[in-house]
Amino acid sequence: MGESVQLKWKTLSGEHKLSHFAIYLVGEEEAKYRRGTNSVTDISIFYEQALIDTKDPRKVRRGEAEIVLPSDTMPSWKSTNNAIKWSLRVRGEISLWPDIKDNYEVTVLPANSQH
Amino acid sequence: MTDSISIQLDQQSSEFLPGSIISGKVIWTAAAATQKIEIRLFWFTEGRGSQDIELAEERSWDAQGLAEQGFEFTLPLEPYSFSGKLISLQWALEAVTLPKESSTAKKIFTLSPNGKELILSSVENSQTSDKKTWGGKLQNN
Repeated sequence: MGESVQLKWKTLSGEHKLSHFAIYLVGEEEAKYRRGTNSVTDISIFYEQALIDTKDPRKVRRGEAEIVLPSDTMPSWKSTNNAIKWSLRVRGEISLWPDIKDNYEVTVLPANSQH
Repeated sequence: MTDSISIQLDQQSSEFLPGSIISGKVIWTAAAATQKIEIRLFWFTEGRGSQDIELAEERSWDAQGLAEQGFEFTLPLEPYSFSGKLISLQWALEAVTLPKESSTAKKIFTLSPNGKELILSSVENSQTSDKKTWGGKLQNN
């Protein structure tokens, strides 16, 4: 938090088949609780920033984006039943194929913390 | 005589920065059965998820013969106080009479980089939630 991070991506093949491509930085609350004998997990997204969101095949092949997080949000945090999670979510659409939905969890550190 | 207990903070504000000092005194009157006075620094969650509580630090004193005692804690760097759609996290000081905890006092305060509780608002119309149908809805760049 409070620092910028450079993100680079590169698709290895088939970029011309991607009609839509996007990478989002997402922050979410995760709350676990018991309902009867079941364990339930609820999610609420509190932050979502498009790093790339395009239909242009030339931008799909490779690119980079700067991530700047606001200082007034929560860093990653986890306890037994509750958590704040951050992830990079890759989304894509290929005609006649299932959508791409890949999530990569990342750790957001508090400002001025030791890396 | 019955127990009574209270916490007085030195700081006027209830907003604290990570790593700062929180200090004050615990004031009590102790019944004959009360042996100790304890003050606890901890955080706890409220909301949709099952509650989490974590003790950061504590101090205790003999209850008999004294009526007040000063304390000082260096606050941890995290977690921050926040309030979201599902979860809120709060910091507190709690003073109790032991062993029965027949009297307690609590002071809630906030801990964050600007001292204020962080508000996490829910994103409307998320583009990436699992419920979202992808395709044909992206903007052109």
